[in-house]
Amino acid sequence: MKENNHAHWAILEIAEHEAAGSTIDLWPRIETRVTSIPAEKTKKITKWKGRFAFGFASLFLLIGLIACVPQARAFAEDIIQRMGIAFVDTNRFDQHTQVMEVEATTISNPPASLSIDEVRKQIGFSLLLPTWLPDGLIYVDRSISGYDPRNGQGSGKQLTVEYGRTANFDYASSILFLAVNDGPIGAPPLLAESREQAVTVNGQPGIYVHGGWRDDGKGDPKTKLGILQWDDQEDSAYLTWTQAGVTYLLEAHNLSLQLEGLQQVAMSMTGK
Amino acid sequence: MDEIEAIAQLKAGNLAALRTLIEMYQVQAVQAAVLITQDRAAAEDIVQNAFLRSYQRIEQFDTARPYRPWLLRMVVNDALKAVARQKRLISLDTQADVPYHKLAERLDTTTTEPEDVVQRNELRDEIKEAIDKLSPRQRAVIIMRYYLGLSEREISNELNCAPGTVKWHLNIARERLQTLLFPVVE
Repeated sequence: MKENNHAHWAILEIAEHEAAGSTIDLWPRIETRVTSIPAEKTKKITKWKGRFAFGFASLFLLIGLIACVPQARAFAEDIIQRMGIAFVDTNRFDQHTQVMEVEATTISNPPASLSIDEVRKQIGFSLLLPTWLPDGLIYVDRSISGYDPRNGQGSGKQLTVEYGRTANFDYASSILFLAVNDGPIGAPPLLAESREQAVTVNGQPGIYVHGGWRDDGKGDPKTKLGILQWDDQEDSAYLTWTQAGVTYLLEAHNLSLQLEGLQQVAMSMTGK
Repeated sequence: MDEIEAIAQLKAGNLAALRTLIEMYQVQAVQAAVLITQDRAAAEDIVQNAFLRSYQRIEQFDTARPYRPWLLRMVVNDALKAVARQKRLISLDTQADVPYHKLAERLDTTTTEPEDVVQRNELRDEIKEAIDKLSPRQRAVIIMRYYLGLSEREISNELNCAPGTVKWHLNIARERLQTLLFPVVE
């Protein structure tokens, strides 16, 4: 117990030194953000009403086709394999769960961000980049990673572009990733298969998923990945599609973006 | 206005109640997030977002349960996610075996002599540096145990892991602190 008191005292002093209580006042900033929420919500709901009805009708028709027509199913599976998302059949993970502790490694000297000319020179295939971003987002970083392409698909090079609210890697709040590959996306995010939505992006078939995994038992108990449960309310959205032989994956976190927002970004990728 | 009343008022749409909750918990939440992320600006963003999320989800909040653990769970988990994204982690190895309480004993001598104050500040900085070198999850466990005062069982609930895992994290974190501060202790 004595040890606890000592340690508590020590950490309390460090905490006060790092962020003195008298200097913390979040209310003015939170108030500004809170007052803008209701207006945004109402606007969104009105705009989406009609689109939802049309979207649901199309979706049911598509699901029916995929379920009943073997050729349609094979076609859909082929598209999915080309996309930048890996889906998990969560039923298979209900049993035999293993939890592993993983330590990350330090990247003390991250590579400098690439210019667009360097990207074009290194990537080896034509690609499109967005000319429109949601309010407040700015370009933060570009990098190219190499990997062994699966089944010889693609060049083995993938471009990742990061957009954030500030250029100072403010990952804590909001971030938009764009991954571009001429094969399947390397290291794709693992998402719940049951949340997959078939959509159209720039006239091409695409896949949209909203939500994320959580580890506090507050997600959907029927959609599990080990100890993780899927939560549709998590502020993460994914959109992937293939265009002119190149696969794109947009991944938004803490941006309150949904399909419409991601599609707007995708629509700005015209190359003009 | 106490916490229960503030939540009831917030559910009824009274925004002033949110301010009450923020004033109650912002210092503890920001300090916990700073200790995990080592970044004041990021910590304030995390806590702002946590308060906003709690506001947006207040309808789903069970008033029979306390608000503080709900908020702090979001803060700690978001801080861990932020650190993982920053890729600023270091790998850990457990090494020596020096009693942890010796460190704390060094801090337990309250004095006003100028040279002692300097020594004390130096030691505080060394301990801060040692805590920063823990893995984020170990840091979170230490912060929850010794700063937020949660029990091992409560921590295991917050991080959704077995109590044995929390105990393991605490032991590793203590050993790591001892190892990092070995020259100071000697």
